[in-house]
Amino acid sequence: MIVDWQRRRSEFNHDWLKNRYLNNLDGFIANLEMKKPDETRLVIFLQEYWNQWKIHREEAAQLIDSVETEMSPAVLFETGLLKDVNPEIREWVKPLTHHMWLNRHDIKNKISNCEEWLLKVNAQYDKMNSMLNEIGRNMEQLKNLLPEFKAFRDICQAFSESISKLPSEVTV
Amino acid sequence: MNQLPRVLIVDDIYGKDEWERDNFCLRLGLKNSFGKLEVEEPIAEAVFCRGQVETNGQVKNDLEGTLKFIRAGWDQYPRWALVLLDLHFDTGNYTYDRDPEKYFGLTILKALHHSTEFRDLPVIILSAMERSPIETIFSEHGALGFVDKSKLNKAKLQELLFHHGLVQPPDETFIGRSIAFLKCLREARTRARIKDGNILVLGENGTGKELLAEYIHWQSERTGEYKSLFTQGVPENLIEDLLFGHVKGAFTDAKLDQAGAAELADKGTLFIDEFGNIPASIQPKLLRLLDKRNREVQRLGSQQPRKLDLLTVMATNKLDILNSDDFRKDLLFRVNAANPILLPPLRDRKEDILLLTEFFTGKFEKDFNALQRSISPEAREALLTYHWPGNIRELETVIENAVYNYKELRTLSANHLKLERGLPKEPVSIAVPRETEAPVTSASEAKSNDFKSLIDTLKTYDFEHFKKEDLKGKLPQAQDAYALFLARYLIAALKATLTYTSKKPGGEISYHPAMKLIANDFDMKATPAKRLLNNLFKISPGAIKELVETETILKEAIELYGDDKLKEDLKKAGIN
Repeated sequence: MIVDWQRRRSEFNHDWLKNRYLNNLDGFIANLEMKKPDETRLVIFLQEYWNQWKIHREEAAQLIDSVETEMSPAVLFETGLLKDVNPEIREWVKPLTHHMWLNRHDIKNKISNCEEWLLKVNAQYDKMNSMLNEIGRNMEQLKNLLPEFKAFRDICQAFSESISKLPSEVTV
Repeated sequence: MNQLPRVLIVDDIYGKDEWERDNFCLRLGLKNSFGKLEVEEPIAEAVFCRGQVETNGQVKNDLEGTLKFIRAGWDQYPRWALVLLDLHFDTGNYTYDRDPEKYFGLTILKALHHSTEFRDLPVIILSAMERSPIETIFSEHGALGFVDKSKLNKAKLQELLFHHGLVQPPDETFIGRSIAFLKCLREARTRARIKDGNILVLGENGTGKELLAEYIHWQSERTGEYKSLFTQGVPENLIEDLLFGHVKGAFTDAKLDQAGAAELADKGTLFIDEFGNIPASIQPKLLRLLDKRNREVQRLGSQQPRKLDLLTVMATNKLDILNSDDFRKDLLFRVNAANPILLPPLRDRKEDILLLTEFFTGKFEKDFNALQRSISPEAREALLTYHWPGNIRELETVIENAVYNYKELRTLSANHLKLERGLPKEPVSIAVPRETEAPVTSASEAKSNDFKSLIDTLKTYDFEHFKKEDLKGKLPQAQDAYALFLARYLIAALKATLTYTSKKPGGEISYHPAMKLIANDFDMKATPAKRLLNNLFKISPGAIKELVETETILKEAIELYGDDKLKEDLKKAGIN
């Protein structure tokens, strides 16, 4: 069974972040590194793609916030295989199942790891936005920002990996 | 300068979206063969295939079209050096598309894996999806690796091409584009990077063993020099001196200390040609030199061992060296004789013959100040059908003589080629690693024995102890199996009799020689040959459906030579 959270993670991490955003960011960095960069492409990226992070950062935060409630085997008591369990038993088995799941899969740590990386991505993004506003469309100065773009790329990659480590299926 | 290696990327997004595709090319240093994007210092040329078709806004995965696309690039030069295959292809059907078991990328991979024509096609999975749910599936179906899309960069792609790609060398030091040859180069460069390795190269005379040793040295990235030692015709005591060196006074003429080839190659590569001729008296000393963990040499007359850091390459034309009584077994183990690099003979590199011919013709025209010439169709035919016992060296000599003797001609004709006509030599047995002392046979010999034993088994198969229940309804299965068996037999015969021409370097089907071959009737006329081909399929047309779909050669043979009745039977069985 594919639950809504898995769909949202796929759409965010696979479809958007890895397949599109990081690909475009890598293309932008490679272009900027060339002896004669294609300036039109650089401008298109900055105008149309760079700011997509602003739109998707909320989605990322919601994904992390909801993993514990949506991917816990406790959901099986609501809509899944265990929904017909006697209410008296459910009352103590459900929280126990949830607790065991948290411990067994180290969920809290994985979530806090994602949160930390998300904070870092956001911080680097905001910092770079200020820098980009200062330099405008000056290509020479844009080249000077290469290390910053690369750092942003690496943090995005690490964030993507932390998201990948979250559970892939609802399991005990 | 050879063309850049061609990399095929089968991916729904990059196959469709030009902006994404160009960014992919920029980050990997790929030249987009159909795009306008300028990439500085590209490492390969990229071709994209979406793997899908779109009609009225509805997207469908397209296995047949994808295989056709892959086939087209596999049959032309330069072939796909590498295929990067995506897993998840988005058709809008969320549940289906994202079920790891049903990834369209795996469907493509399985189809490639089950088809003999793509046996050597190097495929790497390139995906942003999780690999763990399908880890076993993709490796069982022939994928050479899995790379996370977001982690692939120029350096990683270079590494993939190095280890898995079928890549022609960038210059003309090595000429060839046949799969056998490119696989040999791939094996050589991969082994070259193994630290302190000992590599044994086996190849018939004239196949280019020394060139391969040099290639191994370039690819090894070792800092020291490449030194070679040729043992052919060299007296025993001189081999030892040339290899290990001597100190002053070691023998009458030793006036000075002198390093041997092994020492001179320190931190580099030592090539020992005609390794099979190393005399028994020197073999124990070689053992120490070939000890990877503790390589040492001692100059003649010295008690002082010298530690060395070497890559050693040994070559021999003694293809059955593993069974040779002239060699210490421990020495053979040390040179990894059970796992040699096999340089294919020219007769197994048919696709390279004309390429080499053109190269040598051009070279000798310049050397002899001769007129530029074309090669006549008859000459091409003669070159392609000759068995080349002396391999490339023989081809070079034949062309050298042809150009030298007819400097003023503009056409190289068949009668200018002095080819030694006669029966091909018996194939030479190649030693394979094994535990027992069973007689060593070549792979083709072993297959041939299997075939004979299979026929014997069928002829003498005994149903005596079968219960009535066990006999029930087995006829259709037996007929299907027989039909498949015959179809595979035919495919092998069609492949063995392909005609290679410059127009069809991948080979052209000729059913008539194939029929003659399987019937062992070399006087067979065209009509009975065609009848025989048609009869082969009539036993159980439905059984060969999958083979017809995956084996182009079979499909093509049926399309070209199948009669109406056969085509109708196959149509009824669901084969179009």
